[in-house]
Amino acid sequence: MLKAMLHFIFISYNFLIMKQFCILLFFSLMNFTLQAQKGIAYYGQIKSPGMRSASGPDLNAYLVFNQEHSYYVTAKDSLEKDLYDNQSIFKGNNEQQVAYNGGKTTRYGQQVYYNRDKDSLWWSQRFRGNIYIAEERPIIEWKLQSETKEIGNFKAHKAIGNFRGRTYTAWYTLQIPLPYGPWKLQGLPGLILEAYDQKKEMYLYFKNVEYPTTNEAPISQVRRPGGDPDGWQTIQDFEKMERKSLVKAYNSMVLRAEKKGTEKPKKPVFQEIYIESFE
Amino acid sequence: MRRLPWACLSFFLFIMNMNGQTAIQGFVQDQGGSPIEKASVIVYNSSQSILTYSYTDEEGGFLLTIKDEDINNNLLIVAANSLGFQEQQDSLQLVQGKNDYSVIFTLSEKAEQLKEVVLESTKKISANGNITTIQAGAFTNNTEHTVEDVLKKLPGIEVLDDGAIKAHGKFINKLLIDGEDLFANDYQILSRNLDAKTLDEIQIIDKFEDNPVLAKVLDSDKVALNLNLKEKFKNIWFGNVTAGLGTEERVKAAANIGLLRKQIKFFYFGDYNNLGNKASDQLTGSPSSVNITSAYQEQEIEPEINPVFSIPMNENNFFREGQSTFNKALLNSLGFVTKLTQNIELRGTGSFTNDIQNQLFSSETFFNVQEDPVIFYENSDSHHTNTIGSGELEIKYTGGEKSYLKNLFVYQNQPEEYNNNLLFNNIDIAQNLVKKESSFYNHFNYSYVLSKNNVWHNYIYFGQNEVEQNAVIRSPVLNSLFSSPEDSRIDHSSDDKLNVFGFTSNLFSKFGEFEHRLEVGYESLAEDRRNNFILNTQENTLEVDSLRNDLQFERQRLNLNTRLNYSFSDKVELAIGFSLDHLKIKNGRDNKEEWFFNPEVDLDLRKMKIGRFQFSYENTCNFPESIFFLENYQLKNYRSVVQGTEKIYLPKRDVYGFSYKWANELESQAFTLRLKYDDTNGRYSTANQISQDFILSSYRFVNAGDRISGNIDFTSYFAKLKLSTNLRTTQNWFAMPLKANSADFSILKNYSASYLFSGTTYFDLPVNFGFKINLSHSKSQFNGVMSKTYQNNAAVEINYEVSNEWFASLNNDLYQMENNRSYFLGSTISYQPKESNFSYRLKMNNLTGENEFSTIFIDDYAMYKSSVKLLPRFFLFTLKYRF
Repeated sequence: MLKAMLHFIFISYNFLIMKQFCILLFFSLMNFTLQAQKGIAYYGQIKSPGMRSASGPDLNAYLVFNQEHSYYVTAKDSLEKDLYDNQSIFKGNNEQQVAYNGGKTTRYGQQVYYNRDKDSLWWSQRFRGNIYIAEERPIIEWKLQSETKEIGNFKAHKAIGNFRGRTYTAWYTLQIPLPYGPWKLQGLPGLILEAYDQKKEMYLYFKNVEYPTTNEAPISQVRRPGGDPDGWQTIQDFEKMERKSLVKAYNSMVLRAEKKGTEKPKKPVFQEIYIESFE
Repeated sequence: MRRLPWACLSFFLFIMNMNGQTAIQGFVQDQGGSPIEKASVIVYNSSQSILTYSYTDEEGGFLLTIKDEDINNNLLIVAANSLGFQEQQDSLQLVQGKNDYSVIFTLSEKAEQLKEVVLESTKKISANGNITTIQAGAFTNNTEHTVEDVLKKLPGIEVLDDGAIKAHGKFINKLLIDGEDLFANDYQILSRNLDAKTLDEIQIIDKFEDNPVLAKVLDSDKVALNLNLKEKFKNIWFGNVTAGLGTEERVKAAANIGLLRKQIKFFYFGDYNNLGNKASDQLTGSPSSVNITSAYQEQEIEPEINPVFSIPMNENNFFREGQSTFNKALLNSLGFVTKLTQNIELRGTGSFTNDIQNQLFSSETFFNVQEDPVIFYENSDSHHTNTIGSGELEIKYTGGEKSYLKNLFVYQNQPEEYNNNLLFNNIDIAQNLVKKESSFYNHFNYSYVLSKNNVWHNYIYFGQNEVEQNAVIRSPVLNSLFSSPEDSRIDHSSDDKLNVFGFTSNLFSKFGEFEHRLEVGYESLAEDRRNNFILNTQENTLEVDSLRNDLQFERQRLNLNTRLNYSFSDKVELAIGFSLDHLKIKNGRDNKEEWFFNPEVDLDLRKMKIGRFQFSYENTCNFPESIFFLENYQLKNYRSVVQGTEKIYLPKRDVYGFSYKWANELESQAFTLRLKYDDTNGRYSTANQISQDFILSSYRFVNAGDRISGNIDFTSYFAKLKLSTNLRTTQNWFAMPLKANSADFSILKNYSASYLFSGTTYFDLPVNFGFKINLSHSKSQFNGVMSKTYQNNAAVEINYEVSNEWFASLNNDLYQMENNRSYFLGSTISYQPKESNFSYRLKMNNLTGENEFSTIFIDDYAMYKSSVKLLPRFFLFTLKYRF
């Protein structure tokens, strides 16, 4: 009797487990379909450090995303090839090029990968070659404003926040309730459609969005061309690189002025030279 | 956010309560009761303003806090949303004394379909990768007077002392105004005179190519600047006037008047001064960067003919501008540009300059000829009037994307007059020269796109340059040479004319990393040199046949040229080219016809860890000048004549170049080394007969002539000392066979070196210093006689920035040569009040009152000791008004 009871309990238990498993499987599958559904948003990115206006090269960019993560890329060869010849603006001469090298595109472009579970960003950009940085998601203390505007059929809400030396105005839409945005801007209750700093030296604007999309662009970790080093550098490493480059740019301006007997250069200001600064 | 353990949460809520905050917690689930992770939860107040937001954790939970002062009407709206679900809202009526609320959302699924297109993915709002736009106002502080003052303050732009502009490290090719080219190469007239306040934005255009068709295949290295003017200056007259008055009768007056309209743009510039700045110097074209690896430069070929006879003004390059030139300078220039139709643009410039110069000069010349040196003594007083009238007319036609046409016509007329009285070896000599020079050139360019990777470019040019000279010389020395009476007069006249016609046709192709150019060219150049020498005595007039020439010189060149560039990587670039030339030269007595094969190779290794290396090799042919073939002697100046030779030789040259550049990691130190070796298998040299007061020279071909030059530059910035320094040396050696009072040619060896040490301080103080020490010496050896000379110059500049409006500078210059030293002190005080139309300047020149300086130079086998008068001490006050 006891054996039969135990058997019954065991079967019931198995059945319960099976049922739970089936329910779990069903919802996981549903969840998976939801997660697998991917969206793509196209942006324009104009980066013009030191130019006091959005006057740098206007680059195409896209953001692919799902609930879990997002992948933003710009300055990518395949995004620009039909438009204009995109060889480097500078050849040889290195005076102040640090401020103007936004026009160069590469095979994999400048990428930002954001993973919500790991609450971190991984990104790559040009800095005398490609650099790869991994960092905890920088928290932007967005101040939400009541102002709204229309971007296409989206109602966009305004938010203001400081990020690495600049004050950004971002326009996000609650119709896409995801914390993503172009470049490294994120953390709002909806997708950021447009963003710019006070001088508009970083200007990101919305072009179109499709969700779900059949576009094959993957939401991937930052990709690297063969020959680039493995591993990740830290945000502190990036700060060091920028500081060093700033000293370098000033030194080379002083050397040039001494050599040619021209006007003495003024010391560059961190925020004026770089989009991201640490002072 | 993860769900907190209950104990923590209770504690948290307790703290909330204490701090006047309200907490809302809860979770979001789907209809099956499963948690929805990463759903957004937003809290609005009753007026629909967002108070706070969060995203749910992996168990669907959320916790939000709201400050009590943000809540009105005790009503909150909480909304949960997630992609693929229908948004759900819940109103929370707050109860007094309760600070924590919980809400559960069960979202229903929704087929999400978002497709919103504002712009196509590839459409751009401001597309141009090569244009850098800089807002002028952001970098200026209203103390800038001219465009040049503004440009000096902009990142990426530098302005050299002579006004030449560099952008992104390269000399600019054009200075455009609202996209239109008003002044071509003489852009300094614009940059130094257009008022700063008219500027709105400045664009640096990289990879600039004036010709939009060529731009398709050329990887241009050119840079141009475009000045965009403020809207309010787009249809008005603008300008400024300057007036200055000083001691020692020094004056300055200047006016700039511009009219800018949409259809037509005019700019007038006028200047008059007697401060030692020449008007004709302001009209000389500015330099442009030449990149040895660049594939092609659009050309303007304008060969000139130089007359044999001259009266030298003996000006000294040793001093700064305004220290030793005695002149009255007048300059007038007018430029316009207009669009005739949408595709046709017309640009014109007309200029008139006039320099009246008086120069006093005395010299001793030692000729190192064998045992007894010959010495010439000269005391000269010259009066020179130089007038230049010139005009340029350019018409451009852009016919769609496929073809481009440009025609440029240049005309110049330059009458000059020299009056010179001198004492030569204690003999009185008087000379008068009336010179008329005129030239015109026409340049026609046509480009056509053949296919995606091929462009065909044609350039046709023709022109004429004529110099007529009529000199009257009263020289007892010349008279005694011809055994004519002492009071005889010599009339020497010459008429030199050059005609040129040529074309080049280029096919440019671009395939991946390869760039290829194939050029076919033809040039025909004809020179006609005539001169005669007439002795006028009281009794008769006699033409001296042995001093008469009628030279017809013709040169025809057919050329096939090809050049291939290949980038192996971003570190290695190789360019290989060769040209096949057929050259035909006639001088009336000899004919020469020859085929040449000239190769060239450039290798550029850059971004190497140890620096950048550039190697170049070029094999070329030296074209002889017509002057080498004068059949008879021709008067060169009042004390020498020159004769040519009969035979035409075409010597070949091998030129080897090497350069190395290094900078340390922080670029606080940079090192450059440049070497050039020029090996010629022959050249035209002179055989000279120097007597007590006369020189007979004749050209001869010699089979030698080498030249080596080297340059080392080491620049440092010491950040801790706030001091930058530059240590530089230039070394030159050359050897050349010469003949002077001997039967055979002997080798003249020359070595010259200069050393420079300069420094600038970067103190964070109103006072800063600059210093410069320049030592140069040269040595030449000829006929066993060694001549040496040196010249040193030291300068200290003290700049005092009293305020943003007051600025003072003190310049100290010390010049030193053998047995001679001069010290100049000058100062400038300027006051540029902010937002005022007036500015004031006080210039103090030569405060130490130096009035004469002696210099020594060596040249070939002679050494010149000369003495020049210096501009006196004067004070000049100038007032400038901008309108």
